[in-house]
Amino acid sequence: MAKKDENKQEFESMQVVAFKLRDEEYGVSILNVQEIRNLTDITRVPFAQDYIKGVINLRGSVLPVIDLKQRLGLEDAPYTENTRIVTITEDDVHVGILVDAVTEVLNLTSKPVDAKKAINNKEGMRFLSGIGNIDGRLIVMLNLPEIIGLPQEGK
Amino acid sequence: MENSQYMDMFLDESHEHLQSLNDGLLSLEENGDAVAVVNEIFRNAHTLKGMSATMGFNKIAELTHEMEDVLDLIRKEQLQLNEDIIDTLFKCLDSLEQMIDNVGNGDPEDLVDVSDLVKKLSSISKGEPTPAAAPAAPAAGAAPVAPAAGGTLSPAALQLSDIDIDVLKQAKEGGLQGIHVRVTLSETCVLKSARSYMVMNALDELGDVVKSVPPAEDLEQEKFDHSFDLLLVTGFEIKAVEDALGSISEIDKVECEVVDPDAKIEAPAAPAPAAAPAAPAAPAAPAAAPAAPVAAKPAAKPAAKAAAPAQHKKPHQSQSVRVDIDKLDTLMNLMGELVINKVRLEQIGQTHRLAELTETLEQMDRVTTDLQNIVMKVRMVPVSAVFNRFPRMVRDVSKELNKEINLTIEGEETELDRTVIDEIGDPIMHLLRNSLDHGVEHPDDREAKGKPRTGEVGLIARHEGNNVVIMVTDDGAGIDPDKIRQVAIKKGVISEEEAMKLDDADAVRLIFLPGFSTAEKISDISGRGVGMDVVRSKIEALSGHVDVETHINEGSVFKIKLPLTLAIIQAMLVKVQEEMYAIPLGSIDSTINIQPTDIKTVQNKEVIVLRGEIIPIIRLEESFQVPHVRDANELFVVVVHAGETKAGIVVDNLIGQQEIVIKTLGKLFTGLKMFSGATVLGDGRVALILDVATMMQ
Repeated sequence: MAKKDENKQEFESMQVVAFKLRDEEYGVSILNVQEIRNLTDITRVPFAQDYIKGVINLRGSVLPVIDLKQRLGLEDAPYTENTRIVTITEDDVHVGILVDAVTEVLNLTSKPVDAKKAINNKEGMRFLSGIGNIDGRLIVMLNLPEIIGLPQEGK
Repeated sequence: MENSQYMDMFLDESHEHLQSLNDGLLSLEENGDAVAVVNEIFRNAHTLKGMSATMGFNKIAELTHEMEDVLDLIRKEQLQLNEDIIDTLFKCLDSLEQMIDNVGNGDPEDLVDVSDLVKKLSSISKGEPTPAAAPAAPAAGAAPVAPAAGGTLSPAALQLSDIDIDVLKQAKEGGLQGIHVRVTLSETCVLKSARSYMVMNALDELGDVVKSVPPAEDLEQEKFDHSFDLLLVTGFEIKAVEDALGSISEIDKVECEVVDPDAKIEAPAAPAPAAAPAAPAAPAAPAAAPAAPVAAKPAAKPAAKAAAPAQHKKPHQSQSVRVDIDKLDTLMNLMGELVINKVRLEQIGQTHRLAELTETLEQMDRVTTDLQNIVMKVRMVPVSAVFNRFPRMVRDVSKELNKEINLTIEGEETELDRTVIDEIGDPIMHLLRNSLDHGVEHPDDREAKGKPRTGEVGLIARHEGNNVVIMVTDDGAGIDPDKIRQVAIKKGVISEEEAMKLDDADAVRLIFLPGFSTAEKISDISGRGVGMDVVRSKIEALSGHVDVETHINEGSVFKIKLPLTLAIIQAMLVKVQEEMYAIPLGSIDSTINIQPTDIKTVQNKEVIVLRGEIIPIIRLEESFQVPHVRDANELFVVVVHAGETKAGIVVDNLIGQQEIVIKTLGKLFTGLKMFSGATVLGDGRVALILDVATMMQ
């Protein structure tokens, strides 16, 4: 997604899939989202980075699942019946992200605020790309390439 | 370009023709001028010329045209082959390959300058003395070997040469007979070449067409009247031949006659003088004598060989279909899905004890198994696809190194999955170069050691269980384990104590470690220190294994073991607490059931004793940090091997043997070497596949 361009040019509305992590609302562009699935068995992968929850079977192919709360440094919470796996595609990499609940698809009409200005938290910041405001409802937009990350360590 | 839709086809076919040209020239160089081989390569050059001219690649066409001229002279025996000509022709092939590659990359073809080669070829074909050719050419050029057409009488029409008669005699010994077939097409026939092709095809079903008058390429170009003569070697009777040809339309007449080679012996001798008018300035009867040895000597050997390729190649062309490899991959993926779903259905059937479902599934099982086998087979390519470029390479390299080397290839019909084939070329090339460069000694050194001057290098492929083994052997100097130890210590690959602890076989295996090359001087051919470890990592990436066995002054054997396919394998499913893992059956030796007390410790390492052998064990639960749910009171050990080393993997339970479809873990897990992939089980869950070789390190 060319988010930078959107920031520069006049902002046209953008559809966002919004979901919850604990009490906060986050979002990714709908263009990155493939589908939303109920929680299924996740197979743990030993030696993988700790934010990778494991792999699931997505219609016969194997899909890694990222525990988003762990990735963002949020406190863990038990699975509920609202827990979902949002499967997303970024740069030809397919992953699932584990979220507490998917709320709705929103139409973001104003340009998201640059995350750097809004949040004073260095560690968490690289994962965020901006904050959208819909009538006072704040949606934290995710920086997907950074969240997916490239594997650096092995074994 | 308007021809762009034909480009792929052109590139594919050009490479095929170049390959057969290469093969043909090599066999010419080895065996002398067997007429059948010359004909074959002439045809190849000719087709290549036609194709490139059609595509508008005039330089390629020009070069092939000159090659064709030279080959034509050789074919007509007006020019005697010598090393110079063969070298020139090889150079032409290299340039052609480059030009075709350029064209394939969208570059202009004339990036390669071929004017020198064109000049050289035309001077050869004009008979201008090239240094070595001069003395030989006139002598042989004048002597016709084959009696030329003496008339329209049936036996003479076939223009049987000594070689043909030899073939006939061999056929007769083998219980076959030669049949002279004359086919007359109807006057109104329009597509004569198509009809003649149908005739050839029909006869190929019955036996081998060893000779045709006019020659096959003239038939293809309709350069004949309405009849042509063929010599068929077959086990069938005349009746069968007549029946086979009778079904082809637009044929006026089919005449057949058995040719008896013994009776014919005089025939070629007699027309020889009569042939004089056909070949200008041919000396009469006496000249036949000096000419005879030229023909007779190669005849004995190549005749058999020449007949063989002819019989293999023809049916091939007509019955194969080119398929995009992507489509095959998709087919394979779909097949994988089908297998997963089949297994899932089987489990449902078992859980609910539905007899009817189970019966149907058994049927379906048979069908899917067949289907799967066929899909696998379609993807299989004989290793000759890789091997056939090596004779040329060995020839070039051995010339460059001034070594005398004989390459023997065995088992080139062994088939491997396409994906594997694509990858093994480079490693094998590397091993071969290594054998040529470091293995086989210089001829003088060999003589001093009391070995024959010519070094033997072998490239052998064969099946071994569910694997294919490819071996590169040489009878050269072998690898000195002490030297390897020294180099390894010097390069800091291992410490001195470690080196001393290694036995000789393990010391030699050090060559597979990164940053190791024993070549004292770096040469073009091999060795820049990035040698064997690259071979090893490439082979291991294919779930294969490479090992070496060597004896000083007797030679070395490099052995590559590869799985038949990378897509679907047999695996043992094991359970550790609540987690399921798959272990490829290919690396499992045995499974045993033990009590926790059976595990002993040696120097703080846990081992078990199995049939007198001490085997180190790996507890999956600990090394994978599997969440502990309950205590197990009995344990299972899966004894696995990677190469010669063994280990026991301790698990809680064995689920069973199953066919699994390997899926990659994807980019996110690139660094994760412990697993070679994952698979989807019948219940929809994912199980990881252990990479046994990595686990044991």
